[in-house]
Amino acid sequence: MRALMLALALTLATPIDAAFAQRAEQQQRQSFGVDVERIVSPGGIEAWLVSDSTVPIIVMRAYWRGGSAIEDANMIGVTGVMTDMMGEGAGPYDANAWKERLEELNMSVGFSAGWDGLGMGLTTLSENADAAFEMARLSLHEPRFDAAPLERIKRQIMVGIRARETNPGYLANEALDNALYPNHVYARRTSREGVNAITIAGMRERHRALFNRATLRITIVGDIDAAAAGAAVDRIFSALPQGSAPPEPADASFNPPTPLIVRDLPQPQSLILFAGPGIQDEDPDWIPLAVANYILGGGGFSSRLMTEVRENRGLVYGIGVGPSVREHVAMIRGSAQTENGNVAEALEVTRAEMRRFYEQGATQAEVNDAITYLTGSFALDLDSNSKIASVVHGYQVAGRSIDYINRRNDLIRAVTLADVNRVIRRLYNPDDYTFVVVGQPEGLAPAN
Amino acid sequence: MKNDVSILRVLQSALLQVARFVLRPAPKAGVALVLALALFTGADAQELPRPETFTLSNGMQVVVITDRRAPVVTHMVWYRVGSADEARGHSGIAHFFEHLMFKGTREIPPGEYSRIVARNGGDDNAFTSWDYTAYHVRIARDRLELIMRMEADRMRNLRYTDETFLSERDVIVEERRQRIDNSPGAVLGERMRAMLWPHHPYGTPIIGWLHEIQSLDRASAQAFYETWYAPNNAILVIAGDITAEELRPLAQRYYGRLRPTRDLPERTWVSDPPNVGPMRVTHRDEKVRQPSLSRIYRAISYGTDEGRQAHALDVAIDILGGGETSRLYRALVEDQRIAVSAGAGANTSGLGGGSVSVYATPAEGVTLEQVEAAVDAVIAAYLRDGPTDAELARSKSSLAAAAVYSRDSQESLANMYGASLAQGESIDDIVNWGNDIQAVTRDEAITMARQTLDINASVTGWLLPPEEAQ
Repeated sequence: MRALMLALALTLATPIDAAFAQRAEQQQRQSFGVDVERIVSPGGIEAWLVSDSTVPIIVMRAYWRGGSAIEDANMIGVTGVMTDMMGEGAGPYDANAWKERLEELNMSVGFSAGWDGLGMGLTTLSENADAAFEMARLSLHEPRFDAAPLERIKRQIMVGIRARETNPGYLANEALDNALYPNHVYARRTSREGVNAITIAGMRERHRALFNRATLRITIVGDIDAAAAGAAVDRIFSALPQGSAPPEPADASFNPPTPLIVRDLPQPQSLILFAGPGIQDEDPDWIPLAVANYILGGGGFSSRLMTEVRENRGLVYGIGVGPSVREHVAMIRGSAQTENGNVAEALEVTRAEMRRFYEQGATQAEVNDAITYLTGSFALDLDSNSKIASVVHGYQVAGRSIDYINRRNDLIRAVTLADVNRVIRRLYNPDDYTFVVVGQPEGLAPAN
Repeated sequence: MKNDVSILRVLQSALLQVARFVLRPAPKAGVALVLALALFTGADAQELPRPETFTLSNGMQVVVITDRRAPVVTHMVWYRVGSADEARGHSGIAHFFEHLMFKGTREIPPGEYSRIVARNGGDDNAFTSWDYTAYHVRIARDRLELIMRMEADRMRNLRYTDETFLSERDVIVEERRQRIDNSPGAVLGERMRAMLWPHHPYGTPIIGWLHEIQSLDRASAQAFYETWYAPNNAILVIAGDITAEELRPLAQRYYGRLRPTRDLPERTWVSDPPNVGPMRVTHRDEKVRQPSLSRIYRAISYGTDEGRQAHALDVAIDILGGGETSRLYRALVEDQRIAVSAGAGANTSGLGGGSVSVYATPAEGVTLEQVEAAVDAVIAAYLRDGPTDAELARSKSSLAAAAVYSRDSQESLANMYGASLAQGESIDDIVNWGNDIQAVTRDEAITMARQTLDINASVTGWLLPPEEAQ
C-alpha cells in the first residue's frame, strides 16, 4: 500500500522539484569563490591567508606532522599531555594567571595532538591582535610545564581511563582496531602505567622533537592584511628551528574481516560499528568515493541505509557510513544503534543493503542527486570566517593546491556513474567488512 | 563518524545546554564560536545586529537578519509550542510531531521533504524544547522559494499513514534509548528534573516517558497539530543573503495565505507547590565506573524575571562555576585536588522559569560526601562574600564578547533570535543583551546568587555503581 502511495505521490511532487531544476543548473555553474593567498613572511615562512577586513576578528590555525603515533611506547599519551600543558601556563603566567589573561583578552589559543600531527588554533578580536600573538608565541616557545597542572591532568586522565570501561564507543573502536591492525600503533591505548610514567622531561623532549619549521602549515583568516600577517607569522613561529620531518610509522596492514565480534555491556540498546578497507585522500577515486558514499550512507536523511533501516523499518534513530582516513590507514566505517532485540535484523538489513549496492551499483539519478547535494551544500560550509578557516586549513594540511577550494565542485561535477560503480566494486563489498556489536544483543551467535 | 551528530532531530537534556549557549552566548564560549563579524560597522561592538521585522495579516511574525557574505540563507520556522504544552499522559507528542512533519503532505510524499532539500544542495533538520519546536533549512539563496513553499505546505496540510505513524514511533523509542536509557547520567538527570518540577511540565522529559511514547495515538497527535501549527503561532526567521524588502512578497505569497487557528489556546502551565526542603536522589547502574555529583536549583529566567535579574544570575553563576577560572574549579580541582571536574551553569532561557546546575566529579579515592561538602563550602563562602571586582569584570567581559563572537554565524543568529522570541523576549532585549550584561552590578549578582542557590529549592543527585561493586 505504501509503495503504491509513494509512487503516486512522487508524480505529484515532481512539479515543485522541476520548477527549480533549471535554476539549480544555473546555480551550479556559478562559482562562489574564496580568495586564498600564499604569503611568505619576511623571515621566510609560508602561510595561506584569506584577508577580509569587514570582520574585526582574526583566526589562525597551524599544523605540524608527527603526533602520538611516534611517541615512546613506555610513555604512551605524552604527546597529548604535552599539548594540553601548553595551555597550563607560559612565560611569566602560571596556569591560573594564564587562563585569566586569555579571558581578559577575550581570546583563545590552544594546542592539540592527534595520531599523526599537532594543531594550534588562535582566535582574537583584531583590536587585541598584538597581545594575542604574544600569548601564542609564549605558549609555543615558553610553556612552563609546571608540576601542579601536570599532576591534575594525570588525575583527570585516570578517571577517564576508568570511565571508558563502559563507554560503548570506546569498546567498539578498541575491538575494531584490535581485529583489523592489532600490531599497529593506532591500536595502542593509554594506560595507568603509561600515564604515571609521563614526566616533565619527556614532555620537553617531545616539544623539542616535534615543533619545527619542516612540516609547519599555517592558515590565517580575517581582519589582517598580508604585511601584518607576515609579521605575525614571524613573531609567533620564527624562533622555531628548521628541523626535519619526523619519522613515520609503518602503514597498517589490514587483517581480513573477522566473524561478528560481540562485547557485552549492560544497556538496553546496542551499538553497531563496522569497517572495511578504504583509500587515502590522494587516491584518484577519492572524489567518486564521496559521491558513492553519500548514496549509501553519507550525511542526510536520503541515503539508502537511512531509508531502509530507519524510515522503512523504524529500527534505528540514525545510521551512517563514511571514509575515515589517518596517515597510515584508510577505512570505510559505519555505525548504528538499535534495541538489543533488533540487532540481528538491523545487521541483516544493513548487510543486505550493502550487498545490493555492491552487486547492482548506483543509478544515474542517484549520482545526479549526490552531485547536486555535494556541490550545492559546499557554500554552507563557507558562510562564516571560522568555517572558511577550517576548510582552507584542512586542504592545506592534506597537501591540496591553494586553489582547490575553488576547483573542488568542478571535480565532483565531473564524476560519472561508471566512476561511482567502480568505487563501489572496490570498496563496498560487505564481505570485506568487520562488524562489532557492543551491548546485550539477542539472537546472535558470537564467534569469539 | 561525523554523521552521528548531524542526523539528530531533537534537542534534549544535554543538548539543551548547547541550545542555551546559542541563545545566550556562554561564558568562555569564544573557543567554540571562534569568530565574530562586523557586518554592522559602527554599531556598538557589544550589540547584536538589529534584524528587520514585520507581521503578516494572518499573525505570522517575520524576522530578517541580513548577512551577504555567502549566497546562502538559513530558513527557520519556530512554533510557540513545545513539550510543556502537552496534555497530561501524552508526553512526547510535541517531539513526535517534529518527526511527523517530515512525513509528507498531499503534494510531498513521505520522506521527500528532506530528499528535495538535499537534491537542491540544502541541509534540513528540526528540534524540540519545552518551550518551542523549530524547523530549519540551510540552502543556496536561489532555492529559498522552494523551501518556503514546502514549509508553508506542511504547516497546515500534513498527511501520513497509520503505518508511517507506527514506524516513526519506533524510531523515537530508539532515539529515547540512545539519548536517555543507555546513559545512567541522563536517567538520573531526568529523575532530578521530575523532582525539581513535581507538577510543572518542565519536570517531564521533552522526548516523553517511554510508556507514554509507546501509547501515543494518531487522533491526539492530529488534534495537537491542528491547534498549534498555525501562522499566528509561528515565527519565520531568515538569516543570510536577503533583506526584508526582498523577502516580504515571498512571505506574503507562501505564508500569508495560510489560515490562522481561531481562539489559539493560552499557554498556561500549572505551577508547583511550595518547596519542602532539600531533595535527594541516588541512582546506581552497572555501567557507572566513576561516581559523580550533580545538583539543580530552581531559578528565574529571561522569560520570568524583572529588570536585569536573569543577566545578573548569568554573571553570578559564571563566576561560581563557568570554566577553569571559576570558584568551584579553582577550589575543588586546583587547590583541594579532590575533584577532576567541577562547575556550574545557569539555564536562564525558559519561558516558564529556569534552573542552575552544579556538578563535580571526584578524583579517585574521594567520596561523594567529601566532594559535596566542599561544593557546599565554596557556595557558602561565595554567598557570604560575593564576587571580587576582578571576577565580575572578567565574567561580564567574557559573556559580552561571546555575544560578539556569535555574530560570525548566520545560523547562530537565527537560532538566537528565534528561540528568544519564542521564549517571550523582544528584539530589544536581544540586541541590548551585551550592554545589559555589562551593566550588572556586584549587588545585583550577589542578590541573585543568594536568592537562587537555596538548598531548600534544590535536588541533589548522586550517580553511583551498584553497591556490591563499590
